[in-house]
Parts: sequence; C-alpha cells; structure tokens
Amino acid sequence: MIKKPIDIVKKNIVRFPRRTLLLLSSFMLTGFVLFSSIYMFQSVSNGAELIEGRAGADLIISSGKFNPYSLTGEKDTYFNGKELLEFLGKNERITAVAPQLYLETISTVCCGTEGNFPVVAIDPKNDFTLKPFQVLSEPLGDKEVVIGAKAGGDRFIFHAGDEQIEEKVLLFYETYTVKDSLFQTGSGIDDTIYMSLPEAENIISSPFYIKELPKNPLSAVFVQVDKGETDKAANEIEEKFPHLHLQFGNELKGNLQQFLQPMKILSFGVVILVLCMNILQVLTQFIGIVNERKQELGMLRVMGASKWQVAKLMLLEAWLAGAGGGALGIVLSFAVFYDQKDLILIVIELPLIFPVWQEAILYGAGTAVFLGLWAAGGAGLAIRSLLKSPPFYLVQEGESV
Amino acid sequence: MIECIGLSKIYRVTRTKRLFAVKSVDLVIKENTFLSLTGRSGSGKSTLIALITGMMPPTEGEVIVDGQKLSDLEERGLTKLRRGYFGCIRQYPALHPSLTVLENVILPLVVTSLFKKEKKCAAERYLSQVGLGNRMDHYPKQLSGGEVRRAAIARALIMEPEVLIADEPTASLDRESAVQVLRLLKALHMSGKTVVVASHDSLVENYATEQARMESGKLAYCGLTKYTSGQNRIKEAAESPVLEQLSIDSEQKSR
Repeated sequence: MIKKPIDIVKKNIVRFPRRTLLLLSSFMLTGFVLFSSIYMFQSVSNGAELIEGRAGADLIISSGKFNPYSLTGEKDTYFNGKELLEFLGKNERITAVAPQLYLETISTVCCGTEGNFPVVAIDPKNDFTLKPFQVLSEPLGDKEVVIGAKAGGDRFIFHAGDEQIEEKVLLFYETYTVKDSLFQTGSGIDDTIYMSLPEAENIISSPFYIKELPKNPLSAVFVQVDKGETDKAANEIEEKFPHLHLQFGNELKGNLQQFLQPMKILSFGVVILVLCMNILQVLTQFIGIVNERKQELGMLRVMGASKWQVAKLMLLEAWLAGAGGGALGIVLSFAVFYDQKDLILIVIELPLIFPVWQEAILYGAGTAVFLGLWAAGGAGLAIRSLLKSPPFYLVQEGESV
Repeated sequence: MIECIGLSKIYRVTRTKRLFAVKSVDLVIKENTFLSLTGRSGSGKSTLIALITGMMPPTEGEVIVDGQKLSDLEERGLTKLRRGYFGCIRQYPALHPSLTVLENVILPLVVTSLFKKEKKCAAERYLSQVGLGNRMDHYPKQLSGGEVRRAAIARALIMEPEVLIADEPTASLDRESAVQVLRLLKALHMSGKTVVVASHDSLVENYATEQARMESGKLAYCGLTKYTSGQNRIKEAAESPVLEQLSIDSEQKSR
C-alpha cells in the first residue's frame, strides 16, 4: 500500500524494468568512470605528495647538491655520517632520520630483468622514504634486498607473498634474495636495488669492493622535523656541519606538479566529457518519460498536486536511478581497483598510493550523492517546461498521445 | 456558487489564425445543482470546464468561485482550489497502471502528502459506494471502461470536493455502463454535491436539474431541464443501491 510519494516513485521505477535497467546501466558506467577518475587522481596525488617532500623528508643532507630527479640517494660523494647521526639523534626538533649509502651502479640481472641498477643501502628500521611504496612491508634481513618496480619488480609483483617462489640477484659476488618490491613511483627509486646498511658494511669491508670511502660512509641523510621547526633545525645543522649541503624537501614540489599537470588536465577532461554525455542521455530519457506521462502528471495537477509535488516524483525517481546506478558503478570500480591493484600499478607508470578504505568510502558516497543530484538536475530540466504549462494543456496533450 | 462572466478563450492555431474556443459565456452554477453541459465535439465544453476549474486562464472574462475571483489567485491558490473545491473526472481518467484501484483512489492524498490511515477507510467506502468494493485489489487493466470511470469518480471524491466536474464521463461506454456512471453522479448530487457534467451525449440531460448547451464556443441555451419536474426520474435514481448508501452516509454525517 502506497503511503508516501517515495512509494509511488518505487512503483514507477519497477513499472518499466527495461528502461530502468538502461538508466541504471548508464549511471553505472558514469559512476564507474567518475569514481575511477577520482580514485586514481587521489592515488596519484597521494603518491605525488609523498615524493614531493622526498617521501616525507623535510631536509636532505648530502655532501654536495642532491639531484632531485634521481630520488634514489644515489650520489657519488660521501661523508662520515657518525657524528651527524649522533647530532641528529640528540636534536629534539628532529623526529626521524633515514640515512642512505650509495654503493655502486651494477650491471646485473634482477628477477629476469637485465640492466644497470644503482645499489643503495638503507636503515630498514628507521627508513621512512620507501615504506609507502612497499608491496609487502616485510622487514629486510641478511642477504635480502628490496627492488624498485623497473629493477625486476614488475615480475616480482606477480608472485609477491608466494613463499614457494624466490627471486635472486647477484650483487658483489653474493646472491641476494629479493624480499620485496616497490610500487611504481615514476622516479629513480624504480631502478634501484636496496639493501640494509649492515649488509653494505660487509660489502665495503670485503676485498672485492675497490671504491675508497670515508669511515662510517653515508651519501645522503633524509630528515623529518617537527612542524614549523625546519628552518631552525636547518640552521643548527649548517652551523655544526658547514661542509655539508642541505636541501629542503619542498623544493621538489614544482617539478612534480609540472610532471602531473597533463594527467590532471586529462583526468578532468574525461570526467567533464563523461558527465556531459551522461546529462544528454538523462535529458533524452527523461524528456521521453515526461512526455509519456504527461497525462498522468497533468491529472495529478488537476487533482490538486502542486508543481513541486509533481516535480518531486520525477526528481526522486531520477535521484534513485542516478544514485543507485552510480553506486553500482562505484562498487564495480572499487572491486577492479582492489583486485587489479598490481596490474594498475604496472600499467600506469606513476607513483600511486591508494586512499585508505575510509577515504574511499567517503569518495564513493560523495560520488553516488553527486550522481543522484546530477540525475535529478537532468530530470528537473526535462520537467521544467512541462510544469510551466497549465494543467489542462498537459492533460489534453497527454490524452492525444 | 460559480459565476462565469463574459468568459472567452482564444487558442492560437497558427501565427495568424486564432480560434474562439469559448466566446463571451455568462453562466451561473448554483450550489447543489446537477448541470449538464452538452454540445457537439469541439463546441467548447472541455475548454469551459477547464476555465471554470482554473486549469487554464481565460483570454477574457472572469470566473468567480464563492465570491473569489480566480484571476486574483496565484498558483498556490489555484492548486488549493483544485485540491479541495473541485473534483475532476475525465474521459481518460489516467489511472496509474502499477497501482491497485484502492491505491489509485488514495493517490491524490499520497502525492499531496495528506494521506492518513483513516483516509484508507474513506477510500474503501467510496469504492464500495461506486460499486467497486470487491475490485479494490485489482489493477486498472483488469477493469472494464465503466469500472475505470467509477474508480475515477471515487478518486475525485477522496479529496471531498464541493463540486464534481466530469468531462465526457460516458464517452466510449456502452449504454448500460453509461447509465451506471450517470446514476452514480446523480446519486452524489442527491447527497448534496454540485455536479457539472460535460458531454456530447444528450442522455446526461435526463439526470440533470439544469442544462446548458454549447454551440461553436457560445452558450446557446441555459435553463432548467425537464428532469426537475419529472419525479419519476428522481425516484429511479433514489432506488439505486448507491444512493441508498450515500443517503445513509449523509444521515450519519448530519447526526
């Protein structure tokens, strides 16, 4: 038994199942494209944000100007890092320190991928620069390495987590097990092989390693500082270690924004195009629906329903179709992202950090509500001219159809 | 009381051609009248009814309903008038095909958010009165033409209008169904409602207390019908079971 206008709307929706299905499908596709674009864009933004600040580093300390494009810690100049690390450890403004040591660029085969790969040592316990890009996030042990996406990571990712399959790589006459792979970042990280600092110390002390390095060598130190304390911390470091070079993490922002600009424009372009196509489709469908129901809607006006009460029925119907179809598309899109996460990361050669699920739900709900309102807007345009006509014309025209 | 003063309606047919659908009509519809508005198709009956009920504005003239000029009313006022004062029944009642007969009757209440539980009982009562008490759960496509018209009458009654206006309520019905519908309208008139019926069928005149005849948009005749003096016809209407029920209802109301 109908009691509220929404009950009539539900009856209208099931009244024409094929048309409803078409309408839902149309909104499902729109929801899919819209949510995918938003989700992807947000993932790229998240990835970019991390890289912008050198994965969260406020300061980068090296013995010469650090190459911002490399983003690997690769630097063929070294300094004795012991005193610096002690100083940084005692400084209250500093919240995290991630030292890196570039060893060598080695020509080798990693996970069946041949190439020249820079080998960099990191402190697995304190490193914060790679964590957002790690596939498995497992601790790095002895004779284990982490590889960038282009250093064989594409292949590794297909059996990531499979204990039966182990990928090996030969470095400095030793065989290392690939423990983890990094997501594609679009930066120098992708080509790099990472090992732990203690492992690097073993290599340096071996007779095969011919490069002369200072004691406790480091090539770069990435530092996180309390909010608003960066300048003070930088001054203190410069004062104490005038021979070292300091670079602020946000200096890299401009370059990355420039790199992402075409993608942003393309993404917005696709969204606008899809929405334009959708609104035209909604208008076509609802003009048809409204014309077909002219007599029925006219009768409602004759029986004392106001313009708004009649319009409300159509708007609610459109809202349900838009939000319902959109929600289906969003769920589908999310499922594809969840299931094909690795494939997407490989195909799209950009740094991607997927939003956390709470954030994803928020985007999904927002997209569904937006599509509902979008559909209602389209229906509103379709019914607008109809409601301007006196009820008698509506009924007469409806009867003659 | 409804007064039409110098009522005209001109339709624009082409850029240069105009059509007088209703021309200078003066008409008074008193309370508790059964007015038959007859005339050939295209004589302006439907247009006149639309003007009276405020379903469209006249080109010239004025409609005054209980002392209120319709031209003074804004959209909200006209909606209110259509909701509470007039109950309209049309040749094609446009019952919602996905709703049952009972749901169709309460539809105006639901759309206007006036639906209450007790209104469902009222709808059931009206459906019983129009002889569709056993067809409440049926869908419009399961009804005959006459039954659809009667359902439309019940739907018009649910808003408890003071004036029932029916446009061609007997069109495309067989004689027996047409008589059933007219008897029903007569019974409603006898229960105190003002009834206006526009029809090309002169059968309506047999049930009306007053008649008006339209010819080419003009009112050709207006006056009492033979019916007012024909007591046998009142008796005929009074004998209908519907009227008996309505009489009981009105008696109960007055108590």
